[in-house]
Amino acid sequence: MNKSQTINVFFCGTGGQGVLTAAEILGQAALLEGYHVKKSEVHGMAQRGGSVESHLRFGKTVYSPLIPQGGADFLVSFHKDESTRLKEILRPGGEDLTGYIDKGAHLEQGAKYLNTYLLGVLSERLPIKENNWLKALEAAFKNKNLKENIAVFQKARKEVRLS
Amino acid sequence: MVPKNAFQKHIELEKRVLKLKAYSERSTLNKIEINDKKIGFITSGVSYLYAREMYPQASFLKLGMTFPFPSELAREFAKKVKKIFVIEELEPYMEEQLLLAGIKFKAKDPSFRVGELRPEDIPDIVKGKVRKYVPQTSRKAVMCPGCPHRSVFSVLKKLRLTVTGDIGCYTLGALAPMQALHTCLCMGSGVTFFEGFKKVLGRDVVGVIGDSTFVHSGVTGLINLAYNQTKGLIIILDNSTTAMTGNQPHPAVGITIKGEPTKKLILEDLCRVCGADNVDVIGAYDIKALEELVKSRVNADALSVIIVRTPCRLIERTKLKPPVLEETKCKKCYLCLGLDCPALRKDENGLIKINGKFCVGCNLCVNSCPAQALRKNE
Ligand code: SF4
Ligand code: SF4
Repeated sequence: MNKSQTINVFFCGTGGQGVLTAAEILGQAALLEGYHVKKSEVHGMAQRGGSVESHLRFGKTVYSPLIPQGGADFLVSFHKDESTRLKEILRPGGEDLTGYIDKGAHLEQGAKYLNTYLLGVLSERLPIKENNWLKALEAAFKNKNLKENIAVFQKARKEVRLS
Repeated sequence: MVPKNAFQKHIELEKRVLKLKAYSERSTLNKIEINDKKIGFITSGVSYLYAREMYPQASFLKLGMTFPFPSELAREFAKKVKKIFVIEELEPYMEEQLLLAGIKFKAKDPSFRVGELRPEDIPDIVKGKVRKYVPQTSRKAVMCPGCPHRSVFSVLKKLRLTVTGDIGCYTLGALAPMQALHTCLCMGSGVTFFEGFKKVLGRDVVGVIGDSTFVHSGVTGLINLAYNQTKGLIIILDNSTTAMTGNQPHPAVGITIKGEPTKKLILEDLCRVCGADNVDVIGAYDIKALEELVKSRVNADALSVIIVRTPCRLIERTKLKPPVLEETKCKKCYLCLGLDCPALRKDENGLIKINGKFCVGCNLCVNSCPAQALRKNE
């Protein structure tokens, strides 16, 4: 992936899983890296376990805030049912990270860190430097278990590098 | 404004619209971008971004000010490009402006007048196709385990009442398998629809509305019920919050949006002064008492309000022990599943299972089981 092309990350899951936080952190990290970033959220009845999606696009110049159908480079799903329902968003050759849900569900820190775990997995695939990721994580989790979040993030990165 | 002034002011307003039209024609908010002259888009807002995404080389008339419509600018643009497409969401406003100005363009298929556009729709509009996208059914939203609304609906369903509903978490009572709420239009309609339904059906109707929705716009409907001498029952589902949108307080909670204590609106007093003959307050979990009360009020010759007051599960988080399930007694009738509690499910072998993590021990399912296979855990 070179810096001039737009990278499209599609996040999906259900209310309360941290889908929107994850997209926010990637958006922040991409901004710090100097990209043009656009983010768009779709949620209905998220308070009652309804579905949540976030489209995150970054590159030199991004026009549409929504990823065109069949245009996502990455599908980052927090819920297998949602991946099944929405996987058409992925472009041919795009990567589906749904397989990592199970790994993230058994973290010693607890299942609520799934969003940070998946971000760690994603981060190894994106042209964004580690310090920008860390700054973005810090901004999001300032008073909310920052240490644990960074530990989970680094663990995911390490696992990806070793695999 | 008094009528004499309104007449004069309206003329001035019309003059102002003409001035704005002149401004719209020359404003930098509206701009022409000429690239490939074979294809031109007239568009604005997010639709411009979608069109630009899919046709980066095309020419554009991008409007930042669509009213009054800059028809002369559009005419100038039309002279420069071969074919014109209008990309706008919903009603064909810009298309109509072009028709009025006699500017030729390719109209989009009416199927694109519904719902939001997506970037992938733009090529289909250009090719004159019908819209492919139909919204996929998404995850079903459901009331929380132990939700007080579920108790109330289980009673209304048992009594086979027609239920006029309103907007809030309790609107979910309309979905299968519950299907205990039968109308929903706008805030306050749980009360006003009740009045109409009661007139037509005569009996066995009840209106339900949440506490915050009642304060917002149910109270006017209740005043009308009293004024029009309508008899019957309104139930206020008082979970002491605005749950659906994320637990905001409201005047009947007695806490401001900043979390500070304030004057508390007393719903029972309010209902009485509106003209309700009977006002009862009852908890949601005593199903038998609730059923008796509803039965005594629903077809009575009086205007009654029952306030079912039990806090939302997002406020009241204490849990009791899950019920005990005796598998051998279970008749597999699945009546319990009719409650749509997320803590109850049927496993691969058709056996009922309780998810101990989700269950809050409200014992509603115990009440629903005709075979006593579910028992209160004391
Ligand atoms: S209601 Fe009782 S008998 Fe019927 S399926 Fe449920 S547990 Fe079994
Ligand atoms: S007691 Fe029954 S109805 Fe109540 S939360 Fe538990 S499983 Fe659901």
